Amino acid sequence: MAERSRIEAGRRRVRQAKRALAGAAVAGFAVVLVLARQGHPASGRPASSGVAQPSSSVRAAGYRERDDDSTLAGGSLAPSGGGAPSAASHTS
Amino acid sequence: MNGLDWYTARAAGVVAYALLSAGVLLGVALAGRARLPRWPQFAVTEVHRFVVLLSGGFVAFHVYALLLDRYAHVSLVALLVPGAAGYRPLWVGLGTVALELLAAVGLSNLLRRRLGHARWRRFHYLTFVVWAAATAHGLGAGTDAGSPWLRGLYLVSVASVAAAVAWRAGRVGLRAARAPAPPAHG
Repeated sequence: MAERSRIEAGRRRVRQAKRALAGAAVAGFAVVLVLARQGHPASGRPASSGVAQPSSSVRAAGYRERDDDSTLAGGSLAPSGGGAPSAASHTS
Repeated sequence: MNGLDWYTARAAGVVAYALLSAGVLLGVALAGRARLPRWPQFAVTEVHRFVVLLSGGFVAFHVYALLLDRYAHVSLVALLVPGAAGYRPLWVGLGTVALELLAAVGLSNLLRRRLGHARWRRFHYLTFVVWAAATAHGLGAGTDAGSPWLRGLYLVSVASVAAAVAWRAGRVGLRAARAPAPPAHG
C-alpha cells in the first residue's frame, strides 16, 4: 500500500515537473528571443558586449572610399566622425 | 520577415542547449544512482527522457527557422553535411555533428532492447560528444555568443556538467576501490 502511494506520488511529481519544464522552456524561448534581437547583426543595435560590430573609424573609412569615387563635388559626404550622413544612402 | 527567423533560430538553439545540458545532468545523476529525496529512480528517468525530447524539439525548431532565414542563407545540404556551410563552416559543422549524433542516440533508445543494455549504454556515452559539440557550436557560430547572458549560460552549463562528471567519476573510483580484489590465479 505504501509502495503504491509512493509510486503514485512519483508519477504526480513527474507530471508537475514536465509541465514546469515545458513552461520554463517556452518562457526561456521568449526571453532569449528578446535578448537575441538586441544582438542581431542587422538590427543596427550592438549587443552589450563581444559582438563584432564595425567601429566608427571603419565605417568612416568606408565612406571616405566611396567619396573618392563619388562624382559629387565637395567633401560633404565624408564626415570623419563616423556618424552616417543623410546623403550616404543616396550614393550607395 | 525583419529578422524574426534569425531571432527564432537563435532562441530555439539556446533553449535546446540549456535543455540538453539539463538532460545530461539528469543522465549523469541516473548513471551514478544519485538519491534525490522524494524522487524515485523511475521519476528521474521519465523527466530525463522528457527534457532530452524537449531539447530535440527545440533543435528541430532551430533547424527549421535557419532554413527559413533569408539572412543566414543556410541550405539543407549545409545543415546535413558537416563543413558545407558557407558561414563559419567548422562551428556550424559541429552543430550538424551534434544534431546527427543526437538523432543516432535517440534511435538507439528506440532500439534499446535489440542492442542490449551494455551496447546501448556504451552508445549512450555519445551524448557527451553531442553536448560538447553543441557547446562549441553555440560559442563559435552564435553571433551573440559574446554577450554576458549567453556567456553566463555556457559557463553555468559547462561548470555543472564538469562537476557532475567529476562526481560520477569519483563514485566509480570509490566503487572500484571497495570491490573485493579478484582471486589470484596460478
